[in-house]
Amino acid sequence: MSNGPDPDTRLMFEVRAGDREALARLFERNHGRVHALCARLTSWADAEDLVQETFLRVQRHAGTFHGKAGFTPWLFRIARNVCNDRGRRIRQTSALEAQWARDQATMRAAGDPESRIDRRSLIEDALAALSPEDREVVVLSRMHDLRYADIAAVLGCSVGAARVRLHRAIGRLREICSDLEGSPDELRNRTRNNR
Amino acid sequence: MNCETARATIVDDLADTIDGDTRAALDRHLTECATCRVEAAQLRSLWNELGDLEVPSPAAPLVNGATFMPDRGTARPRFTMVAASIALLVGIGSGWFARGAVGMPGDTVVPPLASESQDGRVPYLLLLHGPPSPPAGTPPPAESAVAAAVARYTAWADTLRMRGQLVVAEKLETEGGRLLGNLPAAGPIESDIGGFFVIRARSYDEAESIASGSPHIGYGGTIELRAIENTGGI
Repeated sequence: MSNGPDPDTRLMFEVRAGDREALARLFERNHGRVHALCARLTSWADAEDLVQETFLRVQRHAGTFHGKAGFTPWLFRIARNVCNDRGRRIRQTSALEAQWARDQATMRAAGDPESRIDRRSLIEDALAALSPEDREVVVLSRMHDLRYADIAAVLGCSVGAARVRLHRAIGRLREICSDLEGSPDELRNRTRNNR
Repeated sequence: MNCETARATIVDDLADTIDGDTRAALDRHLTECATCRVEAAQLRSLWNELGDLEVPSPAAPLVNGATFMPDRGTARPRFTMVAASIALLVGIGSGWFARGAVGMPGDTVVPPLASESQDGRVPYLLLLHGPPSPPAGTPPPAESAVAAAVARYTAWADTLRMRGQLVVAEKLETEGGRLLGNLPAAGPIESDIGGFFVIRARSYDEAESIASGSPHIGYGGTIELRAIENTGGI
């Protein structure tokens, strides 16, 4: 049984036909998840601005929407392009921030093993430490529940390539988690052995 | 099914769908291979933990006030509330502190740091102490740990800025600090203060709640929280 296009796809066809109220409804329904995506790909501070830029492009490029892959991959591809175009995907940190964080990480690594951060913080750290390319595929898959075909549509690659990218990213994420979990212990053991 | 295929299939099962034959082959392999069973459990655990992370969402006032104004050819579409918020954010992040600190004749008069804002919030100083310096010869942390720390401090500062709670955040130079005046041990100092934040909050309790969200404590540091007194501009 065919259910026809999803509500967002139907609304987008109405936007393409010039219906401004349909655009407002699309915004209401989707601005939260576009914000979530932009915040993960850039930063929370930039996300608000990028959401409005995304919906501006949705309006301007409505004529290019054909609904073949559904609305969500099309919308997310625009949002991803907005993030790329702004050049903010790689978080820009000042030299001061980097030095500060380096100091803290050094101190933490040598500090009290009981003071390690909780598991959720560790996962956040690991996700943030992924490369932008790896992080985006993890975010699209896990945070936004996109299947390989949809991820491929967002990234503009084959389904096979999307699958390989996710596998690789998950592997790197696990390595980073191990680094973050293991480094204090390793350092503590080394310190003990050196006494 | 060999181990390599099994591990790839575990990820496929989490991220997409696998057909019945593939699932049966995976189940058979996991029955026989203890190593891959552990692998599967770890991957599922990581997958669940990723799903439990906080979803970045717009600040509440922005959600409530957000409306999209379609492009009519000339005007830039925007969230009504967002535009004002971004202007505020930029002002706090890059201009307010500098203007307040210089105070040259002819400058625009700006409110003193200690003044109460229109919404009743006053400034609090967060002095970031420690954590203790590592022993000499301690190897540097992994690159990934440094990148993660950068991301966590930056994300926290981003969040405070978005909420309009951050006035300024600075790191202090590690070397060269001096004690001046009548202290018994005037001269070079060895301080454990690495940096400071100035935030705005309505009470000590609210300031403490904000400060407790800092990654600094998780990294083994201590935060000294002090209200900045309004002395009337001395």
